[in-house]
Amino acid sequence: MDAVQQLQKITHRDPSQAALMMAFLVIDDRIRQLPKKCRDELFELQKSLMNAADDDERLEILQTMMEILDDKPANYLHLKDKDIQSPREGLEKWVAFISKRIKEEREQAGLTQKELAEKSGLPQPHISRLESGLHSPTHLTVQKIAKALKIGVVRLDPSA
Amino acid sequence: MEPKKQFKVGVHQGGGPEPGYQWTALIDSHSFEEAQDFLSPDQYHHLAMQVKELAMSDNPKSSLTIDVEPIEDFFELRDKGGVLGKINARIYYCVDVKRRRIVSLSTWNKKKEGPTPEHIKVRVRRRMRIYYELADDLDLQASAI
Repeated sequence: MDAVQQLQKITHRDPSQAALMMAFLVIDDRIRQLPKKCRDELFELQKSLMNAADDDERLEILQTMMEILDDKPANYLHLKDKDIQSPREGLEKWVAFISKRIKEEREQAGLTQKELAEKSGLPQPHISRLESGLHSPTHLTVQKIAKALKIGVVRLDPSA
Repeated sequence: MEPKKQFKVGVHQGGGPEPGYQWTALIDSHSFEEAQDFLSPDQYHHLAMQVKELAMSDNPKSSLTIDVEPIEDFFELRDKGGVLGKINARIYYCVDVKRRRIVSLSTWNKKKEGPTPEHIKVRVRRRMRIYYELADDLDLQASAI
């Protein structure tokens, strides 16, 4: 008896089991068509799936497994300058706030930009760009500036 | 969420980085979609600025202003606070020295303490492998958010 006949027999006996077997057959067929590297990645993820700590992790693993099974051609986007030069209201507000705070705290500490750069280990042109509101600082930068000014990070970034 | 706008651009073979940049910054479309899932346009914009900052530097494998750590053959950019609020953002990227490209491979919102989990490493390794298989013959699209 071939697989199709066997499947028909099971379908007749137990439709739910047949649906399960059909799903396995489809996935098995898809896996067999994958290159070996992809199969290895899939099996590695399968191990992670068994040990997933929570639903979030399980979902992330399943999404990557689906990405492998889909095997869609890769596509790359070119991050152009114009992408980050168009104004964003929320970001502009944040940049305006942090630039003002850095300048105020630096002046209160009686430091020049050059002195703050030396104390923080950041390049002086970077500090100048931050105070001019030309760049959005990372948490690492804010931490370095706060440490150099001997103030808490929250004085510069209340969300920290 | 604002609609995604994408359009194709012609990129000639051997085309180098934009003026003022030492590296061309690319994003794997999966990484772009992951970013859209948990970042607002402001937050995406902030992280894009950091990637472009790396693209301006001599060596995007480390930075004085951005928290960057090597993991295996790729790198992890870490940031939180500020416009990101409580999001603990991670960008996994590779540095293609030969073609002077930085390629963002995955964007992830890290919710738990601890090292990078294995499934994220598998995801990044796979996308990096595919990138290098295609690296000489890419049809690039401009990302417009």
